[in-house]
Amino acid sequence: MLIDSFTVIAQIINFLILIYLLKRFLFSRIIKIMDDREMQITGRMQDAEAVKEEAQKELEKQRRIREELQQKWNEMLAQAKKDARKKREELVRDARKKIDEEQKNWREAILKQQTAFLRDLRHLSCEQVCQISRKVLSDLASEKLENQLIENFLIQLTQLTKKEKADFVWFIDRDERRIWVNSSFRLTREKQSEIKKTLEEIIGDKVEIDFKVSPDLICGIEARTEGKKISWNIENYLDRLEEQLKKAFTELSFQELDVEKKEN
Amino acid sequence: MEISPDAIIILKWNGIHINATIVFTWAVMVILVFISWMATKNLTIGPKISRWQNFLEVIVGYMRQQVREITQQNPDPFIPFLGTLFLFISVSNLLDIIPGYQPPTGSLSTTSALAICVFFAIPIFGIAKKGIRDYFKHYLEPSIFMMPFNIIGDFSRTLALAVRLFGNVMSGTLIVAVLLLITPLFVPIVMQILGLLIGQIQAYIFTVLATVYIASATRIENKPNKIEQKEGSKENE
Repeated sequence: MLIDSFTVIAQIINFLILIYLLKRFLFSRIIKIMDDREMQITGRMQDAEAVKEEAQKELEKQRRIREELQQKWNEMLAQAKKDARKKREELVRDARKKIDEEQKNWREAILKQQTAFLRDLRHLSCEQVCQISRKVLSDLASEKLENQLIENFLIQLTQLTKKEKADFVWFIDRDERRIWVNSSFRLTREKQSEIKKTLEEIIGDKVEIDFKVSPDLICGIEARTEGKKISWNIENYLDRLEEQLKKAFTELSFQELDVEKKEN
Repeated sequence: MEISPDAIIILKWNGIHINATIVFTWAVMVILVFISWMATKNLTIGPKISRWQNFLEVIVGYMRQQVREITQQNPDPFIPFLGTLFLFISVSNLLDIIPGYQPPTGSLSTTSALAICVFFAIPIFGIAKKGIRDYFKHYLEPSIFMMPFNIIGDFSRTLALAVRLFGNVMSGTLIVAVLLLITPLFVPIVMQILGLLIGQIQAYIFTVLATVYIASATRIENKPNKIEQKEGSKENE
C-alpha cells in the first residue's frame, strides 16, 4: 500500500507545525520588515516631495523678488534719464539766455559806441565841412561863406509862404516886438541892417532884433520868436549826412553779425 | 527496492512506525526553521542588510508578487500557508542531491497530506473571506444539478495534486536508481540535475495550483471563466 494513514496524519501535523514555525520565524518578520522599509521609503519620498515643493516655492519667491527689483531698477533708471534730460534742457536754456543777454549787452555797447562815434563824427564833419565850404566859397567865389549864408537865409525869408509868415508873426510878442537872430559868426552892421529890413518887410511892422553869436549852430543863421524859428543852417545837411552815415553803420554792423553767425 | 520511503522503517515503538519519510521531513523542517531563525535574528530596515536577509526577502517578495498577481488580492493572509508549501516541497526536492536522502515528497503519504491540507485550506480561506453562505453557494452554480460534479471536481483536483507531485518525484528517484544499474557512470548525474529541475518546477506548480484554488474560492464574483481556464491548463501538465 502506497499510502500509510499514520504517516499521512503525522505529515499533516508536521506540516501544520512547519507553517506555524515559518510564520513565526520567517514570514511575519520578513513581511513586517519589508513593509516597514516600504513605509520608510514612502515617508522619505513624501518628505523629499515636501522639501522639493518648499524649494520650488522659495525659488518662485526669489524669482518674484528679483523681478520686482529689476522693475524698480528700470523705473529708477528711467527717472534718472528723465531728470538728466530735464537738467540738460535747463542748462541749455540758461546758457542760451546768458548768451542772449551778452549779445544784447554787446549790441548795446556797439550801439553806444556807434552813437558816440557818430556824434563825434558829426561834429568833426560839420567843422570840416564848414571849413571846407568856407574855404571853397572864399576860394571859388571870392566871397565869404557868411555872406553866402546870409544871402541864402534872406532868400529863404522872402520865399516863405503866407501861412508860414502868419505863423511866424503870430508868435511875436505884442508888447516887446522882439526877434532873436542867432548866427554862428559875427554879423557886420551892414548885414544886420539888411536882415532887419527883410524881417520888417515880412512882418510889416518895426521890430526889435537881438543879434547873438551862437557856436551851437556850427555854421548857419536863424531867426526865432517866442515859439517859432526860421533858419538856414548847415546842420540840415549835416543831419542828412548823419542819417546816411547811421544807416551805413547799421548795415555794416548787421553784416558783421551775419558773418559771425555763419562762422559759428 | 522500495518505491516509497514510507517502507523504510527506522524506529518501531508501541506500534508506532517512525519511517524515513517522517524523519527526513523533520530534517527539512529543522533546516528551514534554523535558517529562518538565523536570518531573521538581526533584521534591519536600513540600506545595509545581511546576505541571508536579502536572500529571504527576495524569495518572500517574489512569493508575494506572484500570489498578488494570481489572486488579485492582498497576498499577506495566504503567504504563510502557500509560502510554507512552496519552501517545504522545494527544499525537500533540493536535498535529493545528498546521497542516501529520500525526499519526503516522493512518498504518496506526504503528498496526500499536503493535498489534504490544501483541500481544507480552500474552504477555510473561502469562508473567512466570503462567509459560509456565499462560499457554499458556488457549489450550486450554474445550477443545482451541477452540485455533484462540483464536489467531485474538488476531490479529483486534490487527488491530482497529490499524485502529480508524488509521481514526478518518485519517478525521478526511480529513474536515477535504474540508471545506476545500467550505466553507473555520468548518465545518472545528468538525470539527477534534471530531477532537481523537475523538483523545483513541481514545487512551483503545486503552490501555484493551490493559490489558484484558494483565489477562486476567495474571489468575489469577478471573471470566474478566466480562472477556470487557467486551472484547466495547469492541470493538463
